[in-house]
Amino acid sequence: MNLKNTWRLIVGAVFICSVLQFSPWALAQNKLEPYLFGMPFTLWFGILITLLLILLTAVGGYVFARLKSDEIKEE
Amino acid sequence: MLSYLIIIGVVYIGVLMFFSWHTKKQIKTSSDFMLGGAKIGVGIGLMTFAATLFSTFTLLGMPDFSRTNGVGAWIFLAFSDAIMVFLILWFGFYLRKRVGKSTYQGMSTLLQKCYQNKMAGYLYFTAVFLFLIPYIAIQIRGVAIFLVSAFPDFIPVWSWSIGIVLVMLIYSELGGLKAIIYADSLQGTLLLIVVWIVAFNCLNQVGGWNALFERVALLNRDLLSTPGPKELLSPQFLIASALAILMIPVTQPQLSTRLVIMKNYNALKRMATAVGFFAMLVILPTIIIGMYGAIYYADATTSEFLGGVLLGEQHEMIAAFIIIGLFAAAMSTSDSQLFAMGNEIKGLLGLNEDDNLRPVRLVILLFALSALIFSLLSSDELVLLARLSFSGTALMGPMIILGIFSKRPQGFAMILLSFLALLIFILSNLGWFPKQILSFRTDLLLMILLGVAALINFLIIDRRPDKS
Repeated sequence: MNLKNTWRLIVGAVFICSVLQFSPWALAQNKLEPYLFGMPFTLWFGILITLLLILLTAVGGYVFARLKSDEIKEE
Repeated sequence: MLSYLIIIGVVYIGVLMFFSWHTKKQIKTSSDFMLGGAKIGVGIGLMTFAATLFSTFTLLGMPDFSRTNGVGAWIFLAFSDAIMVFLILWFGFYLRKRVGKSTYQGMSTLLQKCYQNKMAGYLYFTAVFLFLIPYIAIQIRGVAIFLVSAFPDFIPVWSWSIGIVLVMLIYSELGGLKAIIYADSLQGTLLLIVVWIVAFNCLNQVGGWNALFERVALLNRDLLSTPGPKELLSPQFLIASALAILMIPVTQPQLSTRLVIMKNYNALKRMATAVGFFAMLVILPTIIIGMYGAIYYADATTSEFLGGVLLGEQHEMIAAFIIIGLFAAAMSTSDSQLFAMGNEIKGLLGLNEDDNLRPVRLVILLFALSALIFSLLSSDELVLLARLSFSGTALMGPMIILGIFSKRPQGFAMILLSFLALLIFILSNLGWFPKQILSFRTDLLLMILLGVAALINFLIIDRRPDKS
């Protein structure tokens, strides 16, 4: 897979994470279970998906820098 | 507590003065003063970006917001911040490419170059001027009501407010951007330490992590899911908030400047990831404090809750440390905003190295006075005031992204549409225009329409073949 497609895949993953977080399933009223480490579903799911986004940012930054390496060298 | 406060306060102000004096020696040109030498590494970049982003709104507003609206506050801020740091990767690259080797004179001037139209810069500056006022006002009001809680019989809230504005103005004038950036490192660290000290204290009081959520579930189950007891955190509210927060580094000049002055793109991408982790570390304890407040301060007012949990329940030395930490959080955001506004007006007026900067100082003074008046008249709902600020400036986002991303000038249509959107948003906040259109929130609908308009504009103009 080339760098451009990898970058597109990462952007797609970020978009899917956002759709998932704002979906009726994730924002259901009074949905407390399953609990994880004592936390209600809304909080632990929010923390996990936020963490996933930050990891995608770390990987995405690396891929985007490789993709634009010629232009970045000119800085 | 007063003696602890004086000792810690003197040390804090002493360190700030040292930064100011130390960086003043390195300033050779007004560009050094305005852009801090433009070589910021990952560590300093992280701390200055985070300290500017997180403010009184985080330390005071978020605990109160999660106390009354529940754990959905995490989605409102932390998740939105995570999307924002991803956008920095892409937007930061194109912004730096646009600025290139030339000296960055602020977003207003850059937009005038991109659109080859003066109106683009003036519209952006107007939106930023109008909607950063409530954000500065939050810093002033947050610290002032907190200080009144700490010293109830000392001086009234308006006296504290005037004192705070004076300190902000003086520091933003003294040492230039580099002094502000170094001070941000101290203030960001202080903010993180203070918020975790309070959160650990809350967990100890309540009997640990699991007990915190068990007791909240017994008292008010609605706090543990969305939309919360007040039904505020609806999907539309959260999506509109995420879009507004996503646009902060694009539209707020104090943050877009920090993207430009990073040493190189590699430093920028690492800084973006680090800011994401920092956001999680700062926001999680505010949720803990909020849940604690829902147990012990369920019916208290904002100032009773904050005064109790941040001052009354703490050791005197910790309470003094918290007051300084809070002041630092307000300062690090406000001085950066005042400074960025100065840079914007300097660029718009086309002032050079040796020109008289009196008009710049006059605009900053007017801006600070407007914020002071707003702070004296506004409510204690700090988070919703911050959201108003984010939403107002975010309306300029599509116009900015279109201008920076395009290879050729994009005509007048987007400037006109952004102006109309800004006008409708102001009218809807004054109650002179509906807050809902076709079951959509007005702010969300405006953002979607502007985004679509920018995309159509780009496809029509940028893809048009050259006449030659």
